[in-house]
Amino acid sequence: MKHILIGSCLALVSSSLMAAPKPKKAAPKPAATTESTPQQKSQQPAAQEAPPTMAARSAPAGGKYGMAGCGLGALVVDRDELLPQVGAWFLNGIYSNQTYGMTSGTSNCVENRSDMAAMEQEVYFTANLNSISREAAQGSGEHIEALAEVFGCRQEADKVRLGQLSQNHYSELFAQPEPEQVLQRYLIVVNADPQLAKSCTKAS
Amino acid sequence: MQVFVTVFGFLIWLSVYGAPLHGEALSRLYTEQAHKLALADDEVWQRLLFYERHSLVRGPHGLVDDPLFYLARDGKSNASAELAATLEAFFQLQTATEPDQHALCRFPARRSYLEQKMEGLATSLPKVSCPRFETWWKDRHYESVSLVFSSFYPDNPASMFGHIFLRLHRSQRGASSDLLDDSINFAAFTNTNNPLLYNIKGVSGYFPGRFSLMPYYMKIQEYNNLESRDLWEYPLKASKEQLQRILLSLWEFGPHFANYYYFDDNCSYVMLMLMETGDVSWNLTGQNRVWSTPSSSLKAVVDQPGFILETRFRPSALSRYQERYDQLSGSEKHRFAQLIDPKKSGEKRETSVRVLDSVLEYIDFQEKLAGTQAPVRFAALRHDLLLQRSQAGEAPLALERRPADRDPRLAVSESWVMLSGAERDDQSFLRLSWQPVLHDLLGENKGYANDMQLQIMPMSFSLDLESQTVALDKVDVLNVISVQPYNRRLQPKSWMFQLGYERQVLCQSEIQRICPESRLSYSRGAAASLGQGSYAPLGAGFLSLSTGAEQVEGQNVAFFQAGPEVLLHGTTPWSQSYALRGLWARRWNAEGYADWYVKSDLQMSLRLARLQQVRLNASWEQKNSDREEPTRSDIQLGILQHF
Repeated sequence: MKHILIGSCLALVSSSLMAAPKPKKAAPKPAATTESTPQQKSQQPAAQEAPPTMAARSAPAGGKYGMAGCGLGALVVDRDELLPQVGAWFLNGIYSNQTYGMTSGTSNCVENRSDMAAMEQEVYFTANLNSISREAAQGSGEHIEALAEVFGCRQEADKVRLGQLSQNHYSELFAQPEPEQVLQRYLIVVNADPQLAKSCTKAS
Repeated sequence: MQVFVTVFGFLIWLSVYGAPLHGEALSRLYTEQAHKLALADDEVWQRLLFYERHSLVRGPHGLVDDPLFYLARDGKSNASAELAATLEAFFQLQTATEPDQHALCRFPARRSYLEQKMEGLATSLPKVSCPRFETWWKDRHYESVSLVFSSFYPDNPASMFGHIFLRLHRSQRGASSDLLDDSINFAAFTNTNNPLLYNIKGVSGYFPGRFSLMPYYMKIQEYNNLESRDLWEYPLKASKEQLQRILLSLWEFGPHFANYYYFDDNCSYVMLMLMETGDVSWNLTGQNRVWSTPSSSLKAVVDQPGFILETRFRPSALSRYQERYDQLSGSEKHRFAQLIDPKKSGEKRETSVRVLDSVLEYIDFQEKLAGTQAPVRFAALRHDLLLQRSQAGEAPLALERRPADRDPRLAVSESWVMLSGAERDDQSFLRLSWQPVLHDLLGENKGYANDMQLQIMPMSFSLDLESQTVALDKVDVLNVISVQPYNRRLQPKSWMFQLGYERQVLCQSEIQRICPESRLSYSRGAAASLGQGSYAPLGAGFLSLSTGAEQVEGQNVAFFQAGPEVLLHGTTPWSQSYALRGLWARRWNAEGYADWYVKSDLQMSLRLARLQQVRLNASWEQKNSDREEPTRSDIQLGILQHF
């Protein structure tokens, strides 16, 4: 009752506001409005199935976009869909669940690293690429420090070193703007550096 | 009583050490014991079932709408039946095909509670293996938890309220990166892009709300970068055990949904209910009124003494850009302008790190860059400047600004009442006004966004002492003002919206002088700061469009009006806030009459204490200049109290 009391008119009101054309972000707009999480679109099929456990939910983004390429990068169709997709993977417990095809898809592309680390790195690059590129050019920043941890090196000196390397090798690291490409080049640069090659255990 | 306990003790002993009892018999035994202990009425048990206790219309009942969450048929409203059904399910055999479907795997929080309350249960329960839960749980090591408030977002009506979610800290402060922490969020899963349907469904609870768990950097990208909202983090005083209980309940709720309502069962309210599973002494939803907003939810947490340990701030793309731009000197600002000027083609060279960093923040803010989104307008420029930036060496200047005044924790409670003496048409009377939610232009501004008003259902009543009558004079369903000045080379939108009813306004129609009017108006314009410093007023100009109807002798006469509107708003050093509005519009009605409609309105507030203000409102309007008395004025002076 109270919902109707307080809100029925407001629905119409805010609709008229929302209806104002917003060409740039037309697709994700509804996501933002109820504070909905980014995974809303791709989660939809799962929502209807009312699955019995959190982990048992199927990975919905996979159904729509497939796992044809290597890892997450292949999922990114356009800019507006990035966050929804990555969000959907995480909802499903990406770090802990082996039931998705994603893990094997990633390991086909990146050998010699544990599935989990490879996946974590791809997701990290996909979700943060713009922040990483800015901080790489600046030579430091919290996204670079977190990147060092994602590569398995947690020492302060390693984080500083990774910042320096990012800045010095900026043009080759970001020659292509796709997250998988940047990740691959980062791995080369990190492994070519004696200090980081030794301490960044998840990058080898 | 004692006899009972002895008998039960014996039976349980039998069940464990004696001849093995059937699962069904065991569950019956424990159900009886739980009944004796009145566990179903225990607050802890009811919280595990997400029972709401404040409901006006129903008794205690479960928030979760997914029927699978409650094991008993009437589990949503019968905590006792749910307890019996839970125990019964616990003692069932685990199937080989779906091991994770066993109740012990699905409800570890209920299990832990019941084991703790009933001695012997832990050993009586069948041994099960829960591979999915165990893998999930293995990675749930957290040191502490923060409540995060994502600040008001004026570009979007539903986000103007702010948003709250939880951040789970993987380590003590500084030991590992903040970005790699996790976050818990509750949100609606929408399935329509049609804005009208979307809002109707949102209000009526059509969308399922679900929890999600994801890395904190996802939330940072979404709020700080995509929507440019500041994040305020409040580390909470919570032990690891309390945090673990929250996580176990999260696991139980995880696959299920609760219908999401804009106004009460929303992100912040459900988040508080989840937090309450952490400790029975945390009482966060108890003070909720009929509605719930992120602000009122934050206030419920602030009101728990010592619960919030400190305030941390994570600037949005806009805040980062503003700070970087303000670090520039005059000549650097000029070079900044040259760099972003689209008319200047050819190679752009810049060596100053400060200029480069501020242009880069400018681009990221303008393009709302998050994740891998590629810039559109400034793609080439961003690429060029990043290359130049990497060659410049040097670390960027630190960002140190902490807008302490905007800390949402400091916000006054969102409701107020005001009693005023008013005079209208030489008639004096008392007026009682009420704002349930959220903030108005003249209100105490600490903790809220600058120059923003968001009122839902503000109303005022006139009290006539002589005739002893009370009448609803004015009510707005929604009244929003968002004024953002042009500055630092940004051109934000300013707009106003109102949908409301007023009982006594001047009629435009000839027949009557005073009539009730319903109105929908929208104004769109631009604003600028008039002068320097924090006391410089803000001036805004709008094009205002309104439509609605006035009621003349029981008939609705529709009208439409359009014209320019101005707003001047500011504060003075002696803690006074003022707003002056003027409207000059051409107004056509359905009877074919057209005239100029002029209205001006002055409001001033004087702060007495944090929760009290004195307010003066004076307004003057003119409609239908052919009439004998085409003008009318209204003045009121009152005292306002937040509660």
